[in-house]
Amino acid sequence: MKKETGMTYPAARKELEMLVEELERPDADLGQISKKVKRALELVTFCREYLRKVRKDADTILDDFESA
Amino acid sequence: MMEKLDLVDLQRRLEDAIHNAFEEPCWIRAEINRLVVSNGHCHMELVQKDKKTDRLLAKAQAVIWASTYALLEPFFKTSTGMNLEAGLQVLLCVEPRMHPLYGLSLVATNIDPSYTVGGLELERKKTMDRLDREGITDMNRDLPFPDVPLHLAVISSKAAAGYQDFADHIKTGGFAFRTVLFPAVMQGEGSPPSIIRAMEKVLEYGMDFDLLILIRGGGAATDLHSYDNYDLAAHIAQFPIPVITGIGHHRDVHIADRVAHLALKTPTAVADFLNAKLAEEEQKVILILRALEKAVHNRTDNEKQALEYLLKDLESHVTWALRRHEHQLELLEQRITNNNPLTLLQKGYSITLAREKALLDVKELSKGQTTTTVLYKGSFESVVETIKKK
Repeated sequence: MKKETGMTYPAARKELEMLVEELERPDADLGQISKKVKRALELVTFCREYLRKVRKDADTILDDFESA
Repeated sequence: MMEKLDLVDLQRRLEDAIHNAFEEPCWIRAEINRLVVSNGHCHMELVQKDKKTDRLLAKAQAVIWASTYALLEPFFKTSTGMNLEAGLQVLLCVEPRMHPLYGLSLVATNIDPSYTVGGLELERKKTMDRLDREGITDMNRDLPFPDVPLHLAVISSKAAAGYQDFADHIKTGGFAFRTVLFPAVMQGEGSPPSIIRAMEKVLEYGMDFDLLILIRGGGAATDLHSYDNYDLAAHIAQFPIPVITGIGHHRDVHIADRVAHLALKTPTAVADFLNAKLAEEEQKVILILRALEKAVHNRTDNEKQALEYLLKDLESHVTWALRRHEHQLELLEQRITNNNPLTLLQKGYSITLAREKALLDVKELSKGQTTTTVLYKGSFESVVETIKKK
């Protein structure tokens, strides 16, 4: 996945949803499909990483707080 | 010719005359003006005064011989709570006796203590009536009693055991009492003016005393007549600070006790009362502190509990929010996969494009037209030969 500085989760989600909708359209431009699928999967990975990080951070903060 | 007599003959004749005139002893009412005990014999000067003018109407010497006095003195004391002494109104059984050498004397053989008690009671009633009339009886008692009486003005005689008892007992409570002693004569005729002077000094002392304490020296309850004195009672009643008495008697309630804010029996009782009062006040403060502590604990406990719940909520919110997002992502991913034509091509399907658009209907085709077919791997072009309409 290419580095995208300043990418936020909501922006990534929005783009992802748009891509999925485009892919679902029957008149989708076939020439663009592979590119779009690739991009969509990148976004999925980004979002997944992001959520994993959020969960890890939250767990760490809560654990630190409770053991304090 | 008038008879000439020797003095001794006259005196003997008087002796006989008196003896004959008073064969039986008689009861007389009189006031003891002076009283001296010598060799066990009690010598008294009895007087009677005009009730209105106080002028002396009669005066006589009386004696109680030692053998009688040894019985009468304790009898009188146990019956009245007072010593037989000057200033008292008494009812005495006397035999008038004339002695040629010592003159007329009344030999007292009995005394009726109830007369003295009744007289004093009457006198007290008169004094109380006067205080009532003047509207000052309850003035001291109506003063509010201080919650924490620590500054004490004490009127007593310094050397007396009663004051020492008080001073010793007041320390046992461990409270920070500040006592200032104003010495006064606590007994006998001179005591009312002496106590009143001491009371004036208390007011001039320049310290805000919480209480004035009047305590008598202790020992035998002798001549407490002063505590029925009108002037002293009036001063106590109108004193601007609550007065406690500890005069140390058991039998009578004196006027001073009746007008004081509180009358206790002994100096020790006064000290114990004050210690108890402060202990009670201390207890109140301790209870308030406990209640405060409990309230703070309850409050913080409640807050802590609420925080615990919030924290739990927070954790589950985070978990649920993340799960929801992950789930949505999964769905999106699924949709990508479903719509990825490559997935279909991989299974052997192919797409035919005409003019760069996916071909869905043969109507869009014409004979001889070139189309492109995309396979999983690569593509090829073909020319339309036959069109079949279903």
